[in-house]
Amino acid sequence: MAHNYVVTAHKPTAVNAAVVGNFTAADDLNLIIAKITRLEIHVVTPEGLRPHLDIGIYGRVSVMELFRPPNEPQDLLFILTARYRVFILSYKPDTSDVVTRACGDVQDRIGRPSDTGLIGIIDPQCRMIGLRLYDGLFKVIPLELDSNKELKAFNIRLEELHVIDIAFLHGCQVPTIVFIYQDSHERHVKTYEILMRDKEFNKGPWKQDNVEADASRVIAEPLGGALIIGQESITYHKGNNYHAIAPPLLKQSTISCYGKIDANGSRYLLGDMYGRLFMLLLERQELMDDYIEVKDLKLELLGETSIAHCLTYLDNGVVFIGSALGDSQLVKLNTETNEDGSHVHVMETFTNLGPIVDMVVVDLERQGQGQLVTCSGALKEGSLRIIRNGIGIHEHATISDLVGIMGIWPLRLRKTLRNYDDALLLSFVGQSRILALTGEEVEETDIPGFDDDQQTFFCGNVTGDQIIQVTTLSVRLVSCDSRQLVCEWRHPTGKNISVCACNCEQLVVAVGCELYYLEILAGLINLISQTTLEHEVACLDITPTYESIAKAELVAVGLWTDISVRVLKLPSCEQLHVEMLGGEIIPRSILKTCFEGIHYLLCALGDGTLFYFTMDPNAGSLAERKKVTLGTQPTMLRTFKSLSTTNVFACSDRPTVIYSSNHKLVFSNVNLKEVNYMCPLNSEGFPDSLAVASEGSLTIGTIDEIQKLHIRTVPLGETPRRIAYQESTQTFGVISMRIEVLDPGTNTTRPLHPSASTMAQNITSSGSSSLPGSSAPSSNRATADGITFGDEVEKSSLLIIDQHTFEVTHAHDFQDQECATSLISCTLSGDPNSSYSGSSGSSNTYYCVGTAHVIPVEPEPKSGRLLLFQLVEGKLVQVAEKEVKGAVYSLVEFNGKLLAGINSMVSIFEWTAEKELREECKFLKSILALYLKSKGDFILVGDLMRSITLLAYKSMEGSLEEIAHDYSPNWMTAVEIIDDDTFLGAENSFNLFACQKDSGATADDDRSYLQDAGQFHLGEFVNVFRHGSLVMEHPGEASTPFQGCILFGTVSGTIGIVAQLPQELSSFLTQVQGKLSKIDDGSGVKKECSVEDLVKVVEELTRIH
Amino acid sequence: MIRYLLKREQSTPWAYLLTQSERNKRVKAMKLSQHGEVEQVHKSGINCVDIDIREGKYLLSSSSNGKIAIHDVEDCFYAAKFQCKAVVTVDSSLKDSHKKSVETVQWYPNDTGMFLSSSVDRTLRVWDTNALEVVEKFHVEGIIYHHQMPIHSSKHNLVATACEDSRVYLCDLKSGSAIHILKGHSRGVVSVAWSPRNSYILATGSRDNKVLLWDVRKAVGSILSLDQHNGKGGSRCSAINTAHNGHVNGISFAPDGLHLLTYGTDDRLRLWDTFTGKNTLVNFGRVHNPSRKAIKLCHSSGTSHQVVFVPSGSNIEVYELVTGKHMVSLGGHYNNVNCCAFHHYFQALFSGANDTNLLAWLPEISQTDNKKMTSDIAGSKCVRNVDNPFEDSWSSDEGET
Repeated sequence: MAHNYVVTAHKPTAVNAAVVGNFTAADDLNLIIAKITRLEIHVVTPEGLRPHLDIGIYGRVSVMELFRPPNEPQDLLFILTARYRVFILSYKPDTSDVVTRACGDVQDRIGRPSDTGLIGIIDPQCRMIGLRLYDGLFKVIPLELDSNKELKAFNIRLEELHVIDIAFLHGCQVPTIVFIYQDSHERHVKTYEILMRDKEFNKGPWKQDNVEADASRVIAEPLGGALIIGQESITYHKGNNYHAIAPPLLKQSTISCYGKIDANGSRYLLGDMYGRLFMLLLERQELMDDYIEVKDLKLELLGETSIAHCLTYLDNGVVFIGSALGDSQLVKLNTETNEDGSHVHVMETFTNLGPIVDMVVVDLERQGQGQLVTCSGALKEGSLRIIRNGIGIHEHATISDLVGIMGIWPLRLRKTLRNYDDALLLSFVGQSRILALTGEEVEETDIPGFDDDQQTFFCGNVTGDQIIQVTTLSVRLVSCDSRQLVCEWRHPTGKNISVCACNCEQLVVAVGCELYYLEILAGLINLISQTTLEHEVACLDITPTYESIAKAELVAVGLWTDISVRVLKLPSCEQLHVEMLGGEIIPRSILKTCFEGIHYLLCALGDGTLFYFTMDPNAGSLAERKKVTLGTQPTMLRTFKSLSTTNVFACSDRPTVIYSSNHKLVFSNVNLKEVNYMCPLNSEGFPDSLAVASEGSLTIGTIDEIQKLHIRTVPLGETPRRIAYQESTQTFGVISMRIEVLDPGTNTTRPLHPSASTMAQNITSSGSSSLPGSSAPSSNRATADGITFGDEVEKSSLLIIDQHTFEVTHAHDFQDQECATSLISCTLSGDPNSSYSGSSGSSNTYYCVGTAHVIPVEPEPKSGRLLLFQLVEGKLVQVAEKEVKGAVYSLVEFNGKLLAGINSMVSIFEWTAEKELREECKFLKSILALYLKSKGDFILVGDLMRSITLLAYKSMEGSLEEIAHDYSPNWMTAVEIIDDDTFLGAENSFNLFACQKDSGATADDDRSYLQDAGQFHLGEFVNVFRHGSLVMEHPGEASTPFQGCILFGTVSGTIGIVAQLPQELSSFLTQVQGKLSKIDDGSGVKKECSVEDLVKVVEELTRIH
Repeated sequence: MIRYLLKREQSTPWAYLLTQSERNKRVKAMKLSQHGEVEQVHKSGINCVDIDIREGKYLLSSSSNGKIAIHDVEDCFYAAKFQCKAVVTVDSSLKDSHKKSVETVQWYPNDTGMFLSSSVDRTLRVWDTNALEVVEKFHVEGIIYHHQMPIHSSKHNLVATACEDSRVYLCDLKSGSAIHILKGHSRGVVSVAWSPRNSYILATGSRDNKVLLWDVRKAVGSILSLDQHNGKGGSRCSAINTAHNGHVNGISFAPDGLHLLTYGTDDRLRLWDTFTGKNTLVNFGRVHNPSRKAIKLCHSSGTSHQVVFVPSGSNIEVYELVTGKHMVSLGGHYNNVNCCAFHHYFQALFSGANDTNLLAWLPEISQTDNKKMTSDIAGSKCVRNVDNPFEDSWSSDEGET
């Protein structure tokens, strides 16, 4: 039985609704944002948005509206979920809690859900809520909040089946709706009065037949009229009063959302699919008897923002742009235009990963820590996002032009009350420099007692108000007060010091094989003992064993030549323990430390490997040897304190913070590229900070308390669709799609705006369509459909992106009307190039792209291509091309061959010696083989509507055979193989399910069924599954109790994890979950378990995301 | 399709639109199955077919010599070449079987453990599928032309039976009695249908050309008699509202319950608004309806256009429900088609006719192996033409589909 644990690593970020109002208090202005399954309540303050509450909703928010019934002190929040649950929330200021005022279920057993989605509207006078859920029905929820906790709805038959949009008119005696509907040919606008008692409609005050054919929105305007927004025109309608405008600006795109600026409805914001923001002004005139009517409409382009899904005007010209296709924004509308002619000034950006269409898990630095690179966003918001789990350093100051820093140490030159550091010593080859820190100011200073012309090995405050500086030549003791040298120690024969280690009172210095133990007193350095070791000393540590005792009793030494770690006792320098590390890489840094009361000895080698041991603090013996790889470069270990716990910072090309949790060491990545050296810094200007030296600069910053996901954005400006990583060429391949505008005069297209594929360093193309007759019909259709200027054409291209710089080095455009649908990086056996090179490991790697020729009149693409590209010296070369009979929906590398899902077929292609792709065998029984995954000889097929099928490749016969099938009618959206017997699927009702192969079944029939092994309602639409993990995996240590880890990405930007648990843990956790849901005292859980144990288990589980 | 898939990756509402349009496409692409067939076990005309709505796996059928069969039809969606085997047949050898023509069979809506059959032998029988035994038997006063038990009802278990003696008997599965009788028609009742929206509303069609709507909670007669002229038919017939100018032998509610479709021997289909009881005056044109018996229509579900399948002579005519637009004509039977059933998971149609054939109609979208398919068609056509040399509309129909 499979036991899977589903958890979210990154919450949904796509905004699907936002409202503004006085929710938390009558005089609070709140912005409430719905992100699919979450509600975020913010308070609007002069400083910006202040997050107030973040609530999870057990459902997908479809409609969210604020309203204020009479007698209510503050606004109430109405929510309709995708599964037809409705509820009204209010805020209790005394308990700071959101309470449900009323709720109900408005689902009908039968009914056709409308194509235009769920619409929920509230009568301006709060008499009722109107819902359009099903075709032909309008649902009414009377608002009687005081008397009824349950929201009950009744249906009114709406003869107009296809309602496009609907709104309540303002200022009506009887609640009146206005709506746009479509009959077989045209769209019309109609109004109805709602008779509550009879549960019927009455003819409304006006109607308008034959409005614009693409009228898509109706906005009720406070004077009682309605605005009808179409593709080309905006119309104001109020019975006899009628105004229409058709500004050319509007035509280019479709208005997708609106927001009201003024309460009196004289100005509206409109947003379109290109991300343009408009203001619509309703000019009014006052007639006699104070009667106001709309005189004219004016539309003005304000500027460009993210592609808005919802627009919410907050206050003082600030607008929240909620986006589902890109980052959400907070923008300020200025009366003056800026240099780009835009009135829009972006104040804040909120990262949104959605929609995650595809992703890869890569380990760019090959250190066991996965990074996720996602294809996120769409249209001009398209981007790649690099997501990494780790600890973040927040930069506060950076000093650049400091090349070759070999070491940094904080110093306290002056005595302060809080023991603030006020200087930094920087060590370079052949010199040392001191930077004085005054507040946030940094300037170079000079201390007479220091030797500036030598590289410093160590520097720090020591006992007796002195500073010690260890250079190649000598150990210098400098008084803090006088800043003059008070004592100096040199090697008796004047040899150069090679390594040293120091604490407040003690100092060990190594000169070749000789080790000297010195003690520091006021104005004096005493040589206590000395010893000669077998080999040269590579690294030293003399950190005090116990924090309370200033003196260390043990010194740790790493040696050259025999690559050993030794523990010596002080002051005698007697050897207590020898540990041979093996290998040929010398230890470069050694550190004794204590985490959670356990003493460890850490030793980092020159190749980024870290050995760690537990150490007996008294006997000095080492045990429990373990090894991890932190980086590829020599690693330097430094301790620092964060929140009064000790942490170790491993400086290397892959900086890592080492800390302990549950008596286990945790290695967490830091969001820095490369760190040469670091030291803790606690100065007045930078309290509790770190000073980090990297190539060419010094950074001062603070560190996150916990690890979390860090997201980096690489904007593309066009829709990314598929991504693949090619390790051998250190590149990413990305299939993207951009919109070009057709110029009818020349029948050529031009891009809408510059994007990654049009600005690449190299651009090639497959030329115009080779499909016979495809271009001719397209122009015919163009005239037949009355295509006018500005028609959009989609163009696919393959982008090659450098893994280090994320620059697009090459873009290859596919043919017109050719849509690239799949992409992999693969190596193919039988490659003629690999045969002469002898070894199988050196065969070529290719990018393989599957495409489809999309002809609008065809219901299903009838042809497509398989294209094989090779990256030769940075240039993309097409190696092979194969015409196939359909759209290549999915590609998988399959034992040196190519596996492709082409329409209803699953085919295997061989790469022949003649450099041709030859179809070896195929399997025909799918409806559309959209998703493929393989493991060994097994192939998992995710079908459009017939769930999943397991196939096996019979290499002897060269055929594909069906092994088992899941017979549920699931419309698949992603599939993955968990292990040989268990399979994971996601379907379009937002569920995950697991299926199991029953190999042991006796009956043939049973074997061919995939048994249901688990179901999970995720509430999110999964687009992609990938094996991999976001946290560092250590082969030596199973820190997490999982056997496998699968990441998934969703339309709303969620990243989640499906992990396999051992049965025992799974059933235990299920019990805990069951008990918790009842808020029990925990008794009755079968396994003996203390609170600490449980906390430990939970903490371990949280570590995977 | 590919566009829908792209959109679906970016925005969830497209998931619903994709399923709708894909189902619609499949309904439009329905053709006589070319890669297999349903095992033919009936020796006489098939009166009724029904697919279980839970699993969509078992097809129930009955024929005019009293035989009932159950086929496993799962294979036609999963196998490249299939033969849907009959897993159960009930014929006269079984002691509980009907000895006369079984006019209607229906699965118990909740599972396949039970099914109902009604017959010319004036009985409605309730079967235990696994034991193949009749567990309940209702006797009425005449031939039962049609029966139906409500599919979505949680409130009652009344089986409405359309009886030759002009009455509608409500057989209560809970109590086992058939004491509730609806009187209102003047001639034999041929067709019945429960409203899916309100499980107490029943529509009945009769040989007196009328369609009556009943609320079974009310002791009085019918609540409405549907009027084809919406009250504008002139004085001559104002006293008696008629729905058709012929027997009403087919009646069916649309799956969303907003419309009622009736089918008369006047060769008309009429669409009624169930809220107002008004004729929507949608023109379906002339639909040849030669049958005297109950005709079982069926609707598509979950498609972007609501589609209705109407047996008409030896063809099945496919219409868009709301507009009345004729979409396609499915030809393949050689004699009058009596019944059809729609498979809502995978958009397939099963039909039974007087030619004793039980046919499967499947979406044929795949364009691969075109050559092989055409040869298959040619082969089958050839054989069938020999079978039934009098069927002349065959080849032209094939051309249309």
